[in-house]
Amino acid sequence: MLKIRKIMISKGEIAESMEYLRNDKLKYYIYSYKILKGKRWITLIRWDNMDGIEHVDIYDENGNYIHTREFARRDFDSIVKIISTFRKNIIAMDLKNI
Amino acid sequence: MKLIITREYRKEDKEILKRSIKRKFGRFEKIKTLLNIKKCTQPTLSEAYLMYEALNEETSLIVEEVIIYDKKVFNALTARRIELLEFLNRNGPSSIKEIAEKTHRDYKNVYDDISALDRFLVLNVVKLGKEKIAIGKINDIKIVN
Repeated sequence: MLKIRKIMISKGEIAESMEYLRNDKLKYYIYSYKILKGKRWITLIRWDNMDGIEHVDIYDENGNYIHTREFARRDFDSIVKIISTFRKNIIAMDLKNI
Repeated sequence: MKLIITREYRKEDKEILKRSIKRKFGRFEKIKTLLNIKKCTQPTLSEAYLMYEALNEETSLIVEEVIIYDKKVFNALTARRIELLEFLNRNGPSSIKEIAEKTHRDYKNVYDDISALDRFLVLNVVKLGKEKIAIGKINDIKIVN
């Protein structure tokens, strides 16, 4: 089962959650902060466990990958709080201290 | 004040989704291989992988909830656009051309309405080649304080 949640924080800015559950257990998750650029949604930051390790990926405003950092998993609601607080400045934040 | 939409994907919506992902990224095995090589450098790839994984399940279930805080969404929900949402709920996934033909409306007006609803995430529009297809069935739409 795939559960998708999209929260439009303001025009052209969304927090998006994709949770893939197998036998009611969370197998994969992707929590992203995306901005609308032209007609495309660009990911600026993304928390996920896709390669088996909890981490956060940072991208630039054109969607180009910058780097990956370790980050212990938090639920989507607390990720939304972080995103809503820092918005586009989030890519410059030291996420370990948040 | 916020607008909350819950959407489900019917069999025919999932078929369109699958075709759209396949067209963009290739077969499931190719996505898996690419994901192993590119890791997280291409975010749309892992999203496609999750979607594909869910679509490959025998009784795949995809549910979506959209919460919109931007009050401008209420301006976007005109009577014509609500009629359009009702049309899509009744008729299943439809391209802009199909909607224009079946509702006897001008192609450009339908295109503008679809684009406005897509921008606010009220609609989910996928690309299939040159065509844009609106998918998903809105089960619930409510205003919450």
